[in-house]
Amino acid sequence: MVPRGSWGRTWLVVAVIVAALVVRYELFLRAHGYRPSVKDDEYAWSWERMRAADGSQRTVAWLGASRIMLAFAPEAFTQTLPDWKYVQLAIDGTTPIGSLLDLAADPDFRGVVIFDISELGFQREHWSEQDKHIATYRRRWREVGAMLERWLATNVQSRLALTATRTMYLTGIALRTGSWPAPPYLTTYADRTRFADYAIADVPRLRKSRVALVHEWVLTMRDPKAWLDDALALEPAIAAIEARGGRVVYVRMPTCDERWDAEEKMTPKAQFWDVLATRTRAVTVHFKDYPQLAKFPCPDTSHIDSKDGPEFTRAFLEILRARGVFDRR
Amino acid sequence: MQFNTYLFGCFFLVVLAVHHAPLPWTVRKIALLVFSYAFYAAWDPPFVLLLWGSTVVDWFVAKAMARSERKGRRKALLLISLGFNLSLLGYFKYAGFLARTFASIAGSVGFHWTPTDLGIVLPIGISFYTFMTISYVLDVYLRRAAPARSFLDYALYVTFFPHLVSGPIVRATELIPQFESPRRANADQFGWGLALLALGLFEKVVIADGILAPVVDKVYAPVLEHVTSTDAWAGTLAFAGQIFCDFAGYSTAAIGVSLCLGFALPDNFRFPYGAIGFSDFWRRWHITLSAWLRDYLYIPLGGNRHGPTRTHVNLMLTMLIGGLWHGASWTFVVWGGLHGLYLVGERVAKRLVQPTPVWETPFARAFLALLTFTLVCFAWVFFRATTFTQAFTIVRAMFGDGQGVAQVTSPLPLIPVFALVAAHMALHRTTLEAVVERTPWPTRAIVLSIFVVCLFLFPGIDRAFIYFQF
Repeated sequence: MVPRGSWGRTWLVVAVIVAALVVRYELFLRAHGYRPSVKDDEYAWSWERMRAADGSQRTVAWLGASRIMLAFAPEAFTQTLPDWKYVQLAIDGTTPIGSLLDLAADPDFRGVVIFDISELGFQREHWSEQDKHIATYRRRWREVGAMLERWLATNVQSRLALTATRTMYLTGIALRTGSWPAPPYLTTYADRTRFADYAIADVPRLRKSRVALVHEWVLTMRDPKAWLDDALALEPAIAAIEARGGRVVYVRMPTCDERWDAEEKMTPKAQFWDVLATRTRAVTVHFKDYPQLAKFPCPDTSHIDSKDGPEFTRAFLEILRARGVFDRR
Repeated sequence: MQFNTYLFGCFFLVVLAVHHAPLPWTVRKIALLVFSYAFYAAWDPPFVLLLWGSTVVDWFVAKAMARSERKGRRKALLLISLGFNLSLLGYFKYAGFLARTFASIAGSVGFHWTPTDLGIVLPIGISFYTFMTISYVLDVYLRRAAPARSFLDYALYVTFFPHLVSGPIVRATELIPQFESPRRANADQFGWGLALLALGLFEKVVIADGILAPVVDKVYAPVLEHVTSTDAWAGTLAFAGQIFCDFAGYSTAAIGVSLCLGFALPDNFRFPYGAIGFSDFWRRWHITLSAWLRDYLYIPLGGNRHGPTRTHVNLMLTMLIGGLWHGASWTFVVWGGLHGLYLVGERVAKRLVQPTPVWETPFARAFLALLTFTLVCFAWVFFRATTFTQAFTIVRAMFGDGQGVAQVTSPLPLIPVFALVAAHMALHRTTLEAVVERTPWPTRAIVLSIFVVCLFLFPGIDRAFIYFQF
């Protein structure tokens, strides 16, 4: 049995009510500082990864984790290298060895790899951290529905703030505190670039959690010989990219205070990074060697504020330009 | 492709446009078939071949069966069809399970063997479409139905996208006749179909995924070694609500989508948490599977025609197999076994306790409904738990032996579960359609607006429907 009567009128009223409430809510969120933000996942990564396989030598693939995501400013890149294309392939909380090997094995990638890595990231135990994303990329034609869904979702999420908002959760906080919570400090854009506004973040809490993490580490120096062996195992991948006209840049991104102190205890720069720099084919850039990169504060000890991103990006690209990374094109 | 995706929204708009275009009926049916294959291929294109295989084999088997009068030949054809379909199901769904079980048995007698990971991916919806094609062949074999006259109609019956990946398990006699003459939804069908789609998505996205799943995931987290008694009950009650809203939500949306195209699919849920007794529960929960198991397993086993003991054995067998159908794990078998015991217990109790008017009073009926619901929840523990260790931890905690730190800190997420049970009990003797028919249109509009607005307020949670894995 189908319930009869007035369905046209019913749905017309529904459309009006829903449109009015959704628009009102979107405006309310915008007024409180909320911005559209895209959900980042392995399908979003795969879409960007496809852009990297364009056969162009003027493509710059940014590999790494959150540090380079927050420091990279796309507008500064476009101003500095107007004829070049950037592809953001960094993945939060991972070591990008898998992505480097994947790009090295892809004959359609001929560009420049910016490879953000900390010393510990070279250890083999971290090499598989991006495998899920790479597997998704390789299966992209098998998961065509999920890929299309991601594309559609990205288009919606990059336009509507409410799609990134956990309304019930926020309502619960608002009911308890009497005011609508501050917007999230992270915004992810359709091209996976990300902006961190530490001015609206709970910096003391973020800093505390980062420092607590450092306190969980065993702060003894790692074995430099074994570490170097692991790091140099990537040389064939770098050679493969260079053979197609590309370049690889190892970059050690800024960290500060307790974080940097702990990292120095485990992997002293002089005995790890500097040794690797003399042995690898890759161009190496350590932030400590460049005052123009080392001057930025890290609000949570591990990332620079995205407001410093344009200056950082310009300075970094100028260093690379001076070292000839963008020559031979 | 899931109903709660942007992709489905776009897909459905295109399907509606083509289906309601001024085109010949055969062209529109071919379009529906192509769209249905696209719907399936969106998950993993090569598995469409399996769907084709199942469709083609059973089409020819049923045709040959209908032409033959020789009993032996008909039986051989039936065995070919059953062998093919059950082999597909067996390989893709149960090969790993059988290997693990064998290894476990071998290990218990001192022979240690680690089964190779076969890396088999379970084709989505295979349990549903193989049961549909088996029912078609069995109906032809038992001469309950004639084979379909048109391959197109038959292929569309198997593949019709609203029911393809998670049911309802439709019989050929229910759907193929609807494909024989041109159909478009009238205004009432279209309006009600959209309402069902909105209700189904609301159940899935808002209640199941948005409110209840986080509670369930906390309590049933594999890393949790201890569970408090309150958490065990809260997590299990939340799962009772989640599994209903997830699966009934899918079925409701599927029925709605189909109705928007002018086709009626059978009901799959009828207020099951208001059931009084377990035979009543199974007439209300996953109705099309219960009916399938009754017609093609329980009755062929002898049903209730050979005395109480045989009836009880048949009930147990049916429910154990029903449990195994849900998933390749012994926990599902135990879940089915518990329901078998409940059904047997109910039959015994009905023989021992004479019906008196006192059992018809509202208080007694509410008591029986709550007792049924409680025992159903107890069985859900084995359905949800991923290991027996976890299941017994939860069960012990439910009976007072709880330990650890509370994971569920607020009772608020359970409000929808209590509301759901109350609604099911209140609507036990009616239907959703009857309720909506009596509801004035402005009230309908307000309720539907709430559903749709809530869908906007719970974005970004993209859990697959639970029954996709079956």
